[in-house]
Formats: sequence, C-alpha cells, structure tokens
Amino acid sequence: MALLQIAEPEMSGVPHQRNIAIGIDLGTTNSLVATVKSGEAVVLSDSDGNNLIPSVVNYGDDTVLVGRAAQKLRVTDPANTVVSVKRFMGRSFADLDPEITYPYKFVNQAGHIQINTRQGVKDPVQVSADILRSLKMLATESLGEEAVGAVITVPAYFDDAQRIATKHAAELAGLNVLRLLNEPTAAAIAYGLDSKQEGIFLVYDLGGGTFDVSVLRLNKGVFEVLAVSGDTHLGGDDFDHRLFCYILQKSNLSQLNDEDTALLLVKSREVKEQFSQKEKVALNVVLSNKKIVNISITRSEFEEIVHNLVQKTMLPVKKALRDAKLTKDDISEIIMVGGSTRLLPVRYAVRDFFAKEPLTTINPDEVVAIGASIQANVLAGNTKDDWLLLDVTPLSLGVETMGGLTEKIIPRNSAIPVARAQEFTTYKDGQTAMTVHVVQGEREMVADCRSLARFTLRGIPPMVAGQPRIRITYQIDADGLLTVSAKEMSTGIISQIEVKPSYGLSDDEIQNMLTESIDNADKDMQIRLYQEAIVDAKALIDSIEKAMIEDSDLLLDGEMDKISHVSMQLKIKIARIVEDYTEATSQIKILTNQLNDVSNDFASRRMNQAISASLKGKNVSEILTESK
Amino acid sequence: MPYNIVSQNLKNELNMDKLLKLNFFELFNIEPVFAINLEQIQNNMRELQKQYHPDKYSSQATEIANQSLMLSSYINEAYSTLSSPLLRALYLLKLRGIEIDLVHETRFNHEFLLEQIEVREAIDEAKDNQDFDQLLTIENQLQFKEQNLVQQINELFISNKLDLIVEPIKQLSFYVKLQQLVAASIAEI
Repeated sequence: MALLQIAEPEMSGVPHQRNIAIGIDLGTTNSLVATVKSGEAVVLSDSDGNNLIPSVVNYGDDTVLVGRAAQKLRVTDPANTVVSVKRFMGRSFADLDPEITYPYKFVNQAGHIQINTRQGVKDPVQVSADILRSLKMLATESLGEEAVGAVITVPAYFDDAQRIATKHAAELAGLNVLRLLNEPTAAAIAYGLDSKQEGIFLVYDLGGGTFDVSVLRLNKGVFEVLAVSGDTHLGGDDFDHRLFCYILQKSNLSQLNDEDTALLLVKSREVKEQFSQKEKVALNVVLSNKKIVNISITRSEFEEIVHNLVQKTMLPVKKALRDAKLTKDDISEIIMVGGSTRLLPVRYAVRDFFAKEPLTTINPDEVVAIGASIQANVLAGNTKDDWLLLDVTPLSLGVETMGGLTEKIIPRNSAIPVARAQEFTTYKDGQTAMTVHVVQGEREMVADCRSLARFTLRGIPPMVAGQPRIRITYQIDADGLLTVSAKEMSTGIISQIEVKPSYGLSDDEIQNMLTESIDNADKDMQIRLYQEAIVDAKALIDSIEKAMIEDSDLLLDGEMDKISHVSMQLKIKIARIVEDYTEATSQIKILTNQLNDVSNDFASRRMNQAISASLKGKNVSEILTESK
Repeated sequence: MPYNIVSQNLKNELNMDKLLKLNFFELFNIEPVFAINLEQIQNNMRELQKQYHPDKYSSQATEIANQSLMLSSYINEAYSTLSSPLLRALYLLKLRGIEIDLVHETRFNHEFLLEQIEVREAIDEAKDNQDFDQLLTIENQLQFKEQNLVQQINELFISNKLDLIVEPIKQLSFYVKLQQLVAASIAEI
C-alpha cells in the first residue's frame, strides 16, 4: 500500500488434511510443546530458538510475562514472580512443605492456595493457564495455524484434584484437551515407539518437583501401564534446597532476605548442574548487603549432601516393581526422564540398582513432550498406527463408612477406564438421606486421605435399618477423572445424582476466569490491530513527506495542499487518546486509504520518472543486476 | 460417504450393546472353567481394548463415546475378575447360581484364626519398622498359601464337588485380604 513498495509473496502453507495436534509437557521448572510433523515428533521453539520455556510467570504493572523474560525478574521481583506453580495445583495450605519458604503473599481462599500479586489474587490454575497460553501461542506462531487439540502431561502420581486443576488451566488457556497423559507413560511412548522394541520398561522420572516411577509393558501394539508409584514431594528443587542449606551453613549465613534467598537458590541450581561436568564448582556471589559469598564445593561433597535424596527414590522403584509383580531382572529397559536425571549420583544409583545402563538417548527434558505429541497425533486421528495405551489409576478411591474408615471401591493401579459399584445401607430405622463422602488415598482412616467430594443422597424411602440398598458407582474415564453416582435399588424408586468432584474452584469461578481471559485476549487483539494501523499510517506519512521534498517539481497545482490536508488529519487522529480501539483503528485505516488515494497520481509520476532515469543509457542486463 | 459413517457407527454401537450383555467368559471367548490360560485372556483383553477403548472413539458422537467408555470399563472389569483366582471362583459359582456371602461367613477353626492374628501382627510390626523387605517376605509366604488353596479349589471344580468348595474359598478370601493389607502397608511406608 505504501509508495513504491512491493509486498513479498505471502509464505502460505500447502493445503493439507491434517489436524494439527500438540503435546504439552507442563513442567514444574520448564515447559515444552511438541508436534508431529511429517511423521516425526519435533519440539517447537520460540523466535529466539529456545524450546525449554521456564514455567515462570511475572505479573507486572500491566504486563504478564512468561518464560525467560519472567525468569529474569525472579530475583528482583520475587513476590510477583511465580515459579514452580505446579506444586500448588489442586493443593491446600496443609499440603505445603513447611520447610520451604516462599516469597509470595499467599491467600487462604476456601482451603486452597492462591497468591496475591500486583495484579490481584491469582489462582494456581490461572498462573498455569498463563503458561499454557504462551505455549499455545508459541505453537501457533511456529506452525502457522492453531492446533485442534492438545495432550497435556501430568505426573502419574497426580490425584484427582491436581488433574482437574490442570484440565481447568488448559480450558482457561483456550486449549481443547484431547487427553491428560501421565508423564512417564508419555516418555515410554517416545522410546517404545521409537525403538519398536517389545518388553517391559521402567520409567524413572525425576523432575523439578515430583518423582514418578512407572512400569509398562509394550506388547503387540498395546502399551499397558502395570504400576505407578512415586513421591509428590521429591524433585530437583529439593536438590537445590539441600545445596542452598549447605551453602548457608558453609558460609555462616543466616536469615537472608527474599531477594538474597531467591538469588542463592538460582545459584544453587547452577552449581548443581555444573557437577555433571566438573569435579569442583566455585561459587561467587555478592549479596544485597554487599557481603560476599565465596566458596567451592567438590563433587564428593555434593554426592554426600544429596545421598539421602537419591536413596529416597529407590523405594518407589521397589514398590512399583512389587505392584507389577515383577523383579528388577524382568525389566528390559530403564528410561530416564526429567532434567534431574542428568545428575550423576542419580544415574549411578539407578545403574547400580538394576545392574544395567539406563537409556538416555532422547533428551530427558524433551522426551515427555515428544511422547505427548505422538499421542496427540493419534487422538487427532492423523495416523493409522494401530497402537493403544492402557493406563492405570495411581491412587485408591474409596468412600467413608461408619467410624471414619475408608472403604476402597477402586484400588490403586486398576486399569482405566474403570467402573465399580458397591452397595451400602442405612443404619437407622426410617433414615431417608445418606451422605456420601468420596476420598482418595491409601490410608485406612478417612482423615488421612484426600477428601474429594461430599454429597447427600435424599429421597430414600423410609424403611427398617439395613433394608435399603444404595448402590454407589465410581467411574474413572480414560483421563483418570472420576464421576460418582448413587442409586437406591431396593424399591425400584431410583434417585440418582451424579457428582463430578471439583476442587477449590467452582464451575462459576472457572466460567468467570474464562470470560475474563477472553475479554482480555479480545482487548489485546484490538490494541495490536490499532498499533499495526498506526505503524502503517506513519510509514505512509513519512514516505510522502520525504517524496514531496525530494520531488516537489512533480507536484501539480493544489496537489500539495490536498495531500497535506489529509496527512494532517491522520496525524491528529494518531495523536488522539484512544477509548475505543476498534473505532480508532477503522478511522485510521480510512484516513490512510484516503491519503493513499490523494497521493496516488503523484506517486505514479515519481515512479515513471525514477524508472526512465534509471533506464537511460543502460541495457537490460545492467538494470536487472542493479535491482538485485 | 456420510451414509457409510453413520452405518459404521450404528454397527459399532449395536455390537457394543451385544458385548455388554455377555458374561466375562463369553466376552473373552473362553470356556467357563476355573483353570484358565492367563496369557490367553491377557491377549484377548488387549485385542478387545484395541477395538473398543474410548481413544478409538474420541472424535465421535457422545453416545458412541459413552458406550465405548462403558464397554472398555467392562472389559477391564472382566480381566481383573478372571485374572484373580478368588474373584474368578466366586464369579463361576455365581454363574452356576451359587452365591457365597463372605462377609457373614465367620465360622473358622481355632488354628486358622490364630494364624490370621499372627500374620496381622507381623504385618503391623513390619509396617511400623518401615521394613519393606520384611513386608515382601510376608507377602511371599501368603502367596504360597494362596497357591495351595487355588490348587484345592481347582480340583474341587474339576471333580464338581461344589459342596466342599466353600471352605477353601473362604480361607482364600482371608489370604487375599491379608495380601491387600500388605499392599496398603507398602503403599504407606
């Protein structure tokens, strides 16, 4: 549209039938997004070439930064920079590790954790949604179109509350969730389908905040998860924290402020990572009070500091083997997943236990996202590959019975989907209502399990105690999410209710957040269009003004006034404060078009002159060479 | 084309309806006997799941997706019932019209009850000591006893002496419960 400008041909995609589907590894420390392109799973990178996006969100005065940009503010603005939000998903205050100090202003809202930031109170679901939104954008920019759906990975050990929170976050980010997939399972898919090998895999997944073990069998195109185990409070962050405490101790420090704590935690992580290559790591940090920390730590010191943590991972490994009814000799391959498996003490411990080298050929940071993208591709119907994934539920589901005891209805490691029913009865004559308390966990006492939902079944016909037969059915779908229903069976009068446990956030709250984020996205889009219109308008004004000075002799009588008049109107419009961006954008566009129209003749006269001048005394090949 | 898709869906739906009405043995296409080939039912389970798992219907109409969720759950239920000797024995008896009320059957000989109490105490002790290996040892002992009972039950099924089968099944249920207790203790430590 501007003078003498030739647009480059649009890089348009080849028309295709494929449904683009993405796999997202929403990690505690880092997140990744991958997709299957022409049969090959690839991790997508942002415009700077990074594919590992730090799971960090900073809430500024009027910005929301995600990833590296937010990471940079972690030290200077810790209270508004949320890291490791995954640890708060679906959790209550009682779940917080009292040993870890957080720089946030927590809000205790209806039992679940929220964080008070500069931009108001943020639910972990919203923070995760901000990360997912940015991953979605990365994928859209990288692929040139929006994905039809996504597979999002969760730790195998996530309970129902944590899974639901993750699903809510994805919905809030505008993603169509094809499946929540267990992280170790995703890793096994990446390796298993890659090597086309059949056998039994053990996945050792030590991430930033969680530790998962899964045992899977790949046989005749069916991936069967045999057992999952793990520790929800064990991960790379704990290694950082051990090192952090050791550094404090070694340099006689106590009582650091938030800023220094954040700084030393970052440094602890750096030191930890360097031990994969170095025997000895030096640490040199200047604290906010100008005090200098200058120490060095040897690898054997480091190994000693983390020894207990590494040993702690072996118990879930043994438990998983026992649950799968296998011994360590039955395992054909051990798959290492998660950045923390780069740590040498971890690798050595696993190797020594199995007397076998673990597999590390696929980047342990990327393997989960890759597996998720392969599953997404299958669920989106893009492949004829005839393989199937059969997963299990990681925790037992039960109901509260008399005396605060748990009656298990679906035991852990049951293959999903699964439906189980159990009959209960009344304990008082004439009892017409019954409270059903749904719990998740392995402990015998209800108080020690996680409470998922409580509902009351009414309308039981009055009968002698023990007569009514109330059938409670638990259904877990392929995502691992639970639905509970209850029926009174004895009289044929069926009163049935269906409960989908929802945690912390009610459906209304989710709806509100959703509307809010759509409003914001809409406004963001309007502002972007407005800014684009301004850039175009200014470029046109500049080039016309320059041309009028350079080639004033080509202007006809009154033409300059006409052009200047429209140009001035446009300048005024640009300078005006905007209330309605859509309106302002269209006004600027109209004036830009007018300016283009009134300057059109002048522009073509200039072009003719330029061409005839450049052609004078030259042959065609010279002109072609010059124009290059 | 749309006609074909509809008819295929309808066929699947009707087929699923039919499968949901089969008993577990019929579903897995095996003889309704106690001595079964575990590997065979494992293979049959995989083949059935390959056809009817919800992942195969994720992009289709809600009705058929729900139907596949039900059927896939039913296949898993069938597999876990048939692969457990206790549940398989109870299921077989139920098909023959015999229901055993394990909850209210409490008549046991003195020796058996004493042994039960001892094992429970051993499990509690191992759990309190966080002794994973000890729990595994107890579990192995329980599995050995279970094997003996399974053998007995199998012989009684073969000779069709169902009047004698209640006693070993009752005992088996106690060993299964103890093993569950071990499993729960292992999960807790």
